[in-house]
Amino acid sequence: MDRMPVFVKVEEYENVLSLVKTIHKRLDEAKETLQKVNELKNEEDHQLEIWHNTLGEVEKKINFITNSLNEPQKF
Amino acid sequence: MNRKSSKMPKITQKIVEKKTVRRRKRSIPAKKSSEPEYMVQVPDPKMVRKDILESLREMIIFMQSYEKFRKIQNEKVSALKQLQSQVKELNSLIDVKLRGLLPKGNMHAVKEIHVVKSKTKVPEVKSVESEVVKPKSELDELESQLKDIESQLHGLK
Repeated sequence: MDRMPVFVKVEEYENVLSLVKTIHKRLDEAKETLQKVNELKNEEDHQLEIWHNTLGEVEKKINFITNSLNEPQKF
Repeated sequence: MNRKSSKMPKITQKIVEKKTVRRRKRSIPAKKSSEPEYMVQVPDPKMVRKDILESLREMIIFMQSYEKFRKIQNEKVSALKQLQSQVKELNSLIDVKLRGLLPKGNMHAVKEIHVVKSKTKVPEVKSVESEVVKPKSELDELESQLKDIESQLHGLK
């Protein structure tokens, strides 16, 4: 019973083929969108990394200023 | 000529008045503090000045890039929405149309029940609890669909 052949009407078979084609098309579109999302995420990550570095640099500079203000030159 | 000469002084008077008003505004004396003024020498003032300016510049660049970041985020949100709609469409194409067109498989109901029962009993209890606590949402529907498909797959094996 499990190995009985399955038949599909020709009309329906054509419909199925066209539907599978449409599904392939939609899948490609979804893949492209996902790729776009991934690229945007990478851009975000890159931007966050730049911010991290910038804040680190600014922190260093402010620390230098704070140190020089807290330790005035002695005569 | 006489007329002109009679008008001229009036204009000059007005200008003078305006100028005096401005001077008055500027000449507000600053409050003098009674405490003695001490001076602290800043070592390496050039470097301090340079650091302040550079920090300021970096902060401005930071703010500019924040706008760019927001733009990227908005783009990402719209792309995610698009992806969601595309996946929904795919789901409907596969679940409704394709399954409708293809002949239904001859599933053994008894086997399906056995497979479901053979699974650990704990998740079943959890699902029942979650159903009791939460109202049915789209996520629950998807979960039930997934279970159904999984049971069908087990039946095929």
